[in-house]
Parts: sequence; structure tokens; C-alpha cells
Amino acid sequence: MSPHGRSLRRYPVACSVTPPDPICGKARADLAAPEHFGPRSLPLFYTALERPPERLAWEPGTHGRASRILLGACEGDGEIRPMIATDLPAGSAPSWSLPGLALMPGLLYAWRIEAEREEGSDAGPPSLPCLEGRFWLLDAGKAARLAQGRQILAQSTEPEFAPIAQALMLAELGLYQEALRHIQKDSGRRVRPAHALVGHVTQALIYRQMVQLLEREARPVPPAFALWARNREAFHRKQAEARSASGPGDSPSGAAFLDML
Amino acid sequence: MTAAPVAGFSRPEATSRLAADRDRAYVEQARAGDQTAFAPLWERYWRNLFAYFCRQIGDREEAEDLASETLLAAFAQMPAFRGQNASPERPASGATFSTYLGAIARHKLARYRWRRAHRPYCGFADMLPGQAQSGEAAALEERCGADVEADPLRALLRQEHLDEVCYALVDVGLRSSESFKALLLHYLCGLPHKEIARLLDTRPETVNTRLQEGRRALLRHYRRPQSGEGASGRRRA
Repeated sequence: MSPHGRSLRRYPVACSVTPPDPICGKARADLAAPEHFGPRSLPLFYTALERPPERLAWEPGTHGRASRILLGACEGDGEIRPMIATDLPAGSAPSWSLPGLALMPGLLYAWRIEAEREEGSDAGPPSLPCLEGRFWLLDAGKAARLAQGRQILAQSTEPEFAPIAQALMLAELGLYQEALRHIQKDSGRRVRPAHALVGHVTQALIYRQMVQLLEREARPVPPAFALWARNREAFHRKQAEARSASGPGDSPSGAAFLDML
Repeated sequence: MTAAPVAGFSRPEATSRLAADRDRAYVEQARAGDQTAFAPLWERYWRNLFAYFCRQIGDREEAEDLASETLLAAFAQMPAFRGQNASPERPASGATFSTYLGAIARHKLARYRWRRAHRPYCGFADMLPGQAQSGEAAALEERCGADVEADPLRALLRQEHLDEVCYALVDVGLRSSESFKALLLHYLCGLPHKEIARLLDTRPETVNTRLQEGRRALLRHYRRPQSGEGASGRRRA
């Protein structure tokens, strides 16, 4: 999920953990496979936001079918109390511009996209899971910390590592989506393998913090969220460990340096 | 740069001779690969170094950092330390361990002042094993204040050193996320303890502890046996 327009790719279904049917079994297998969540997979669906989202966007997983989108406050039992909903006709773009919403800082909000069932079909299309996200707005205290942190980093950070420092600061405040966006936006510039490894470790760390928050706060969030975050952490750790153990790899040797001169 | 005595390191001659003898024994052990020899050297010199840096810069946290960095750098470069050339007639001459430490401390201080005056920089670059090959402390001091950007070879070397730092940091990060954050923000981003504490919503003392743990982890990283000839100074288990 991305309320700010990031695409949602290979979203792990939130409804697939408990019922023992074949579809859910496949979904569970997907969730358990770290490689399923590759670097292009960026479903940022559990995050704090600095301000209310203006737009929701997602991976077009509904295959052009009509779908229903729902956004509301998250109840204690995990149910969504609808605040706003809309039906998107078949073939619509996978995004939804939101009207100005009065959201309370600190409260947990949820949104969900469900593909409409085909006429005459009792069962829903088996390969179309619902997409689901959770977010909350920063409270005043954390917003002040964010402003202070930005000020500190603006003065002191060396440009080469600025995005990673920013990401670490944002993740401390629960702004996971923004943190990952900073790192991924900058990944094209980290051409040196060593720097890319630092990026992977930082991403693993951000997902680790997400898991810790999910475990600590016991919010009404489906277990698949934590599983997804653990998988993402494992993916980036594996990337870092594999490349770190293989040595400098394609980094230039001393002779290559002389050639470059 | 001539080795002017660092305040806090000068002793009466007899005491100095005894201390130099003891140091030499520990240094020889350390050079032979016995890491337990570092502990007594650390205990003996850390407080003096801390006091020296405190007097010079007036910031206890930075002084703690610099004292630790000085000793870590000295240990990392132990193979290049030519203590065996010390003359018996002049035990407190330029080749004693305390003089060697003094030279590194002055280098650290100069570098600290330079980076405060110019820009944040990568603080533990000179703990890198590659520099152990470069030899004497004087060579390190000569690097002080050099404008790496003006010299392409230096710029490349700096980049290579930065890569080494990143590999070491990744090694630490896979074990301890808190040390990773503290090291990255302090050394690669040049942030002082207080500002890191604000960013991470913790106390400066906690940041200091995490940095110390991180430095120990870095030291362990560099002390591991080197694998492969082409590893460019990287050490892997």
C-alpha cells in the first residue's frame, strides 16, 4: 500500500493465514518464501504518515476488474469502521484520490481493496486477494521530533550517506514508508557494492523495527503483516550476508585503479 | 612532523624506563598476535589520552571517542610500529609505545579540528587495515588536512577506504542494529553524540555505550584472519 502513490507489488494477502483451503495454503507458502518479496516489492502498508494521505495507489492485482475500496478507523477487534468507500469500475487506474479527511493523530486507520465478484459466481475469484493497509498519523510530539531531526540532518549530514541517515531517523518515528522511499530513491546512486550493502542492512533494520512495533503494540493488525515484514527483513539480510561474504566482488582491483588513472 | 611530547605522557626518567620496558613486552606480545596484550596497554593509556583530549577540546564525550579511537588505531597499526628500534640508551625516544601513541593522538586531534572546521568526514577510516601497511605515524600525520578531492589518486584511495568502512559496518549491522545506527550517524554522517541521541530518542550516554560496543565489534572485524589475496585488506572469518 502506498497512500502517497507508491505501487503495491505482490501484496501478501491478509486473509490467508487461518482458513485451511488450497488458495490460502498457496498464499501462506508465498508468505513464507523470502525470495517472493524481491526488491521491487514495496507494499508499504503498515506505517506512520506525516499528514493525511491524498491518494491511495496499489499494484493492479485485480486484473482490471471492478473493485471496491474502503477506508476507515480500525476497531479494537480488527474490524474497519467505514469512513469513506468507493466503487471503481473495471479497467480503472489503480489509484484513488482521497477527499480531505479529518484524521486523528495516533489513531489506527485501515484501508482495503476488494475485487468485485463476477456476476453469477458465488465464490470470489481465487487468485484475487483483498489488499489491505494500516496507517496512523504522527502525533504532535513526534512531529516536533521529526522537524528537529530534519534540522539536525540538514546541517550535519555528509551527502553520500544522507538518505540512509534520513531513513534511520524516519524509521525511529514509525515513518517506514518514507524511510524506505528515501533508501530506494537513492539506490541508483549507490553503485559501489559496499554502499549497496549498507542500504540492504538499513532496510533490514527498518523492517525489523516494523516487526518490533507490531509485536510491542498489539494493534489489531492481521498476523500476515508481521510475517510479511519478517520476510522482507530476511530478504535484505540475506542480500547483505551473501554479498558481504562473497567479498568486494566487482569492485575494482588495485590494477584497475591504475588503469582508471 | 616532529614528535613533540604530548602533555600527560612525560614521566620521570626511571619511571619512564620501567614503563617503557613493560610496554615493550606487551607490544611484542601484541605484534605476535596476542590480543590479550592490548588490555593492559588500554588500561595504562586510555585515561591519559582522555585527559589530554579533554584539555585540548573541552568536550568529554568527544574526548572519550578520540581516546578510544587513538588506541584502536594504534592497535590496528601495530605491525607497522617499529618499537624494536628503540635505543636502550634512550628508552623514551621516538620509538616507544607512548611516543607512538602521542603521535597518533596529535594526528587525531588535528584531524578532529580540521573536520570540525571543514566538514563531517569518515572518522574511523584510519583504523583500516590497509593503512597498517603504510607504515609510520608520520605518514598518517602528513595526511592531515590533505585535500583528497584535489588529488584523483587520493580520492580513489579514500573511496576504497570508505568501502572498507562500509564492509565493516555491514558486518556490525548484521549483528547489532543499535551499534550500526550509532556508528553510521557518528562516523559517516559526522553527528555528535547529543544530536544522535535526539535523532534516536535516547540519552547521549546510551549513544556513547553503543559507539563503544560498535568500536569493539569493528576491532573484532579487523582482527579476523584475512581470506583471499584479492580481498584488499578485508578480513573475514
